[in-house]
Amino acid sequence: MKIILILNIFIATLFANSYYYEFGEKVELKKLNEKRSVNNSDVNYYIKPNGKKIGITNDILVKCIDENNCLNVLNEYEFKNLSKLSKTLFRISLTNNDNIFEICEKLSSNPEIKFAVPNVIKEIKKR
Amino acid sequence: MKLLKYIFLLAILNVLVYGSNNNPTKEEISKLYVATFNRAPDNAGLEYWLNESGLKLTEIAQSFFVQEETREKYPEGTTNRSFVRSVYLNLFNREPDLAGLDYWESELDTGTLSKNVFIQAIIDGATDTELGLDKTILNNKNEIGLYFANAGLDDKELAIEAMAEINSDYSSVIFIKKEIDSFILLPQSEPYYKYAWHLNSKDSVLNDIGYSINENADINIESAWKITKGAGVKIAIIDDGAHLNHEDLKENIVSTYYADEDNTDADYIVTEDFISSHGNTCAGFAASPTNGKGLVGVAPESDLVIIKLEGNDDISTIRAFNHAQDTGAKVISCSWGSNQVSEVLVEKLKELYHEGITVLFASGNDTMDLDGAGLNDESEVEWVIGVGASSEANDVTTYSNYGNNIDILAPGGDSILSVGLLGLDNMGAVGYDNQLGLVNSNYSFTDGTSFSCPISAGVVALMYSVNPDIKPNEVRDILTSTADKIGATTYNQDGFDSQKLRAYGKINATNAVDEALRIKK
Repeated sequence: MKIILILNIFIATLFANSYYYEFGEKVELKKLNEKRSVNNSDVNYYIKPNGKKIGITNDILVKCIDENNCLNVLNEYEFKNLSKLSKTLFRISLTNNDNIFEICEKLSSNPEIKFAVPNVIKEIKKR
Repeated sequence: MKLLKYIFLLAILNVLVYGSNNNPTKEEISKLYVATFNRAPDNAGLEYWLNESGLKLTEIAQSFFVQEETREKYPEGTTNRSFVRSVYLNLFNREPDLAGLDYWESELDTGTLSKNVFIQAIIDGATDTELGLDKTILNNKNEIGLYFANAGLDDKELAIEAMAEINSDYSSVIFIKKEIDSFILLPQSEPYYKYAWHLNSKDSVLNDIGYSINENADINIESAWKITKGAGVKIAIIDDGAHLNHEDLKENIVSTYYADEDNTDADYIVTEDFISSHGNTCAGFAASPTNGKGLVGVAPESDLVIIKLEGNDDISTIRAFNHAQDTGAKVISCSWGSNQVSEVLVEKLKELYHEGITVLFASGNDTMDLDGAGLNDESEVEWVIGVGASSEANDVTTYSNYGNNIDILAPGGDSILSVGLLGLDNMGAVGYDNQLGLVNSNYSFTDGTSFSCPISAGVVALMYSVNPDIKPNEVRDILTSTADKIGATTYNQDGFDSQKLRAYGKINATNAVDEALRIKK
């Protein structure tokens, strides 16, 4: 019993605060001891529950429920680096010191925001 | 008669002295073709005799008589009299005068003269007289012969047709030149078209060299090309860049973009251990131009927007689609995937769908059921057309991924079972070496759903070309409802393969274009 408890704590520690919500589901991540820097911005690497490795940059991508009001919604957070990525998507660029998962969660809890997800780097295969 | 004999003897002497000592010219060989076969020289044949055979003119004329074509034209038992008449008709559109006919027949019958020397003497002796404008007609025929060969054409039946209309009136030359010009612009005249079974499987020469190509394996494109070749439509290829100076691409490229760096450098990737050519191949299948070189794409008159995407992060991917959208692309072809599509990309694809842009994704090459747990592939997204691969046997390939959200199959080839598809490689020495001894190194045989996707994108471009207002949902409905039902299976009431492997069947370009045209408002 003790061993199971220790294991649970260990697993919980591994996944602590490293998650975001996508398609309405929680995506828990296990951080890898791997990092690289692109244009002075960190890219951290994680393993998803399905075993796939992804990289996460210091950017959050946001879609609002009302895309015409999205800028107003996001301006309330006073992000220093906010830009429009496409007609319906906004990009928030963070610093290396920001906790991207905490900010994603905060944004996701806003009922006016449809989703707020990190910018993910993943393996793409040519076919 | 004495004068005639004197002229003939001079001509013979000229042949014997000149023809056996000098290297032949294009003009001289072309005239031999006219005299012997009554056709224009094919480009490959002319090049061979001129640059590779190493033979003198009389030797070439002699060699013509051991050709299969000559034996068919002058079968065993053909009399010398008949032969002389044929040569006169071939060269001058007239029968020989009786005295000349008797003379040449006698010379040939007694063996004083060989047929090759006779032909050369007739050519060299051609003059305009009251009997006929021999020299004028021969010059006109020769001009067309060279025009045909210089255009790079090799079709012998066409070469006969080109020559049949030529007479002493120079307007006949002008007319046939225009005909040749219009034919040159046909996709079917591209040199490697004969290997492009995905475009025309019935006439594929691959069957003649040991590869089995089902006669219905193509996408039924040629009737569609009579209506449109895709002019006015931009196809974006999001891939690893392309060899932008490729001989069979550059004319159709109208925009380039490197999404990762937000600049215009979409040239292909070269590193120490990797040289890309995937994007080349994809772009070529969609819209390689009709230019007398190599292959032709499904929509040879469409414009290409080449977008290089290397980094695989969501922001770069969105930028890639943004560029396609901003440049006015109506069709976007994506021959890649992750099996874990992001919500961000789905959102972008939805936006494009509602903007009237059709996006296609390849289903992948792992023989995998995409409906399986944990899989969420780009090709399955509601807002895109998912494309699997059909084979040389006109069935699904052994590798194509499948699932309830895959819409259509298109030729992808199956190298393990047969030959694969012939596509563009990088120009020059770099690239793959799967030429099978049939094509030059700018092209190679390959396979994959990667190539089914741009083939389908080309068909969609043809549809937009005839009906620019068509919506992506209508594109999907047309493609799936007009598809050919292939394979040993049954299709359910909705037209979907009961085994899931073949989606709604194989794409049919002519049916799709006809239907797009029919619903035009």
